[in-house]
Amino acid sequence: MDATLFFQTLVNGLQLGVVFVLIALGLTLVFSIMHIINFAHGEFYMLGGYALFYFFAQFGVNYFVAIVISMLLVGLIAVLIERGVFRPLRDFPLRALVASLALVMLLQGAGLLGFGPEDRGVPAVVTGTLALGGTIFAKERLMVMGIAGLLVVLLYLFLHRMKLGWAMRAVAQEKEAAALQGISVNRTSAIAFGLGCALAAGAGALAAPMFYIHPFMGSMPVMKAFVVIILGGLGSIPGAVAGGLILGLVESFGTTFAGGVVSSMLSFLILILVLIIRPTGLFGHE
Amino acid sequence: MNKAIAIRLLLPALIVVLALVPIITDDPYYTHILIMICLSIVFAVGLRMILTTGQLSIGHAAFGAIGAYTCTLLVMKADFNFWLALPLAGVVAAIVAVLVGYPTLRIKGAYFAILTFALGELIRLVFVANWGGLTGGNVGIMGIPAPSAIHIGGRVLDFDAGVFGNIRGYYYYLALLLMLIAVWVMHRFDRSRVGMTFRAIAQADLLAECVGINIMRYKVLAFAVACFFAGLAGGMLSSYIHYLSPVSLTFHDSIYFIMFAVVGGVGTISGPIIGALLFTALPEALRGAKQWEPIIAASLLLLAVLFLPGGLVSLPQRIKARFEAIRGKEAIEHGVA
Repeated sequence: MDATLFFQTLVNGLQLGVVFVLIALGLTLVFSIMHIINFAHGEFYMLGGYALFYFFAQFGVNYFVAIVISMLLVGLIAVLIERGVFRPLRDFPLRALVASLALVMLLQGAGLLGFGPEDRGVPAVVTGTLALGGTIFAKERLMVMGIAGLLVVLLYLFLHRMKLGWAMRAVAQEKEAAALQGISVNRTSAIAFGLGCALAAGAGALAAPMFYIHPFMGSMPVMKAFVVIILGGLGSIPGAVAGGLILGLVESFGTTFAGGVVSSMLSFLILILVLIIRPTGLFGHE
Repeated sequence: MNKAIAIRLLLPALIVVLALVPIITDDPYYTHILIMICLSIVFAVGLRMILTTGQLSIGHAAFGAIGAYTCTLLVMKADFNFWLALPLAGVVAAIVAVLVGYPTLRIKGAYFAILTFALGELIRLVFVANWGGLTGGNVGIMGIPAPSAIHIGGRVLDFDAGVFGNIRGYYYYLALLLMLIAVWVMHRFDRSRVGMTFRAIAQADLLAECVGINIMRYKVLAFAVACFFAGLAGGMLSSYIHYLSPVSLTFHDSIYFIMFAVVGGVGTISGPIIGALLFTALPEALRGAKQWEPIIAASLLLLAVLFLPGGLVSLPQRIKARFEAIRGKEAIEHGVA
């Protein structure tokens, strides 16, 4: 295999992986704090994409401001959903999972009704490519990687440097002990859910100029996100980062050398094998 | 128990009425809805059986797809008679369920749900991959023949010709038969020691294991029986629709099967039947506003999960309990108690 192709595939894989990381981080954050498997995570990604479409492509708001608006808006919607749906089901994980399946249908149906079934395009923000020793980087993808990487770092700093982040990790570790320290489990859970969904919305907003937008655009990314968080270990943030990058590379090399279908099969096979052989994933602990 | 007697009298009457449907109506549209309701019930009661062992499968439709492809390929590529291919469709789905079930049914709760979700996608991709040109990839398989005609004592039961002037009459009878067999089998399980063991495993698997129950064997059994019937329903569906593709039975159908069982109620076998009836008839009732159908269906599921975990079948009991609570309170207030 020649070196240029290898490096190009590597770079493509990393670019793909960073977007996976962003989607998976929100999913794993929600799981670690609320023990909820949210199948509707992809629908928040979809809502983020549409928010960007309306604010950036329709209303002419600055791209970066539009990303922030879409994250805030979707985060707010998520907080309301947490209050109405997931908080009452906190002690019933399987019922919460079924509720999230209902949300998949509900939000996709609402998207179809509200946004229409047609594909929508968002104009590219930056165009052109950068060539570095034979490997080609699309500038747009580099920017997406940069923003996604920044969001990951910000999340890490939030969880490790800020009081609210500490509270979240405390709730994730031991709910009752956290409550005894005066942390409001309800408030922390709501913020964590809003934050997790805002990250999905951010990923959707970042992906919007690269792909078309439609009401079912969240189905595929959430599948990948499940593979990522199972591979990395459910609830583990470093696991989601490592899992996302690994999956990005697997998909990129798989698609280049075996085709898209086989590479998708490979990712689901990884999920199933990890659950059978090592359910805690690479970074998980019981 | 006059309730038991009522059921014993009503049930045969209901079956007679159902058997008379092609005579009562020759409308192909209503017959189609009834066929779909019957097949939905087959999937839903199976899913409920898996649920009674405490496992939630989000990939049940994939086993229907396995049955559908097995039946179709045996008939179209290997020249099997449909009436041999159909039971084999169930058997293949059950074999896959056993092979997959042994290593995976140990996994519980949300992990198993995610696993079945991935499994469903993996199975769908196998049909997309079109290895050896067998499945036709995303295009699927067109022109699937009707079940071969049956010759009984000089009479020919020809599926293409219909019965009593109802062109879908024989398909209806086949779907009805499948549904009645599935419900009967599941009902027998429910009432038996095996069914009780399923529920014991769901409630306390560790305890069940400690009293000497081989819980894996029971979980695999429930999974395999449910998938056997899913395979049969899928096999019949493909020969009825005459078309099959990887999107014929997907994740969305799996959500619907969960919806049938959860909204109807998983406590008794009548729950998923009521759920399947309600949700298969719902889009027909909303024909003017079809885009609202998934929203209304999903809202009903959400309401059931939040406020009625026992499903619709638990509603009379809940109302009765509430009523008695009010009466009891009044009695205390009036100093009668």
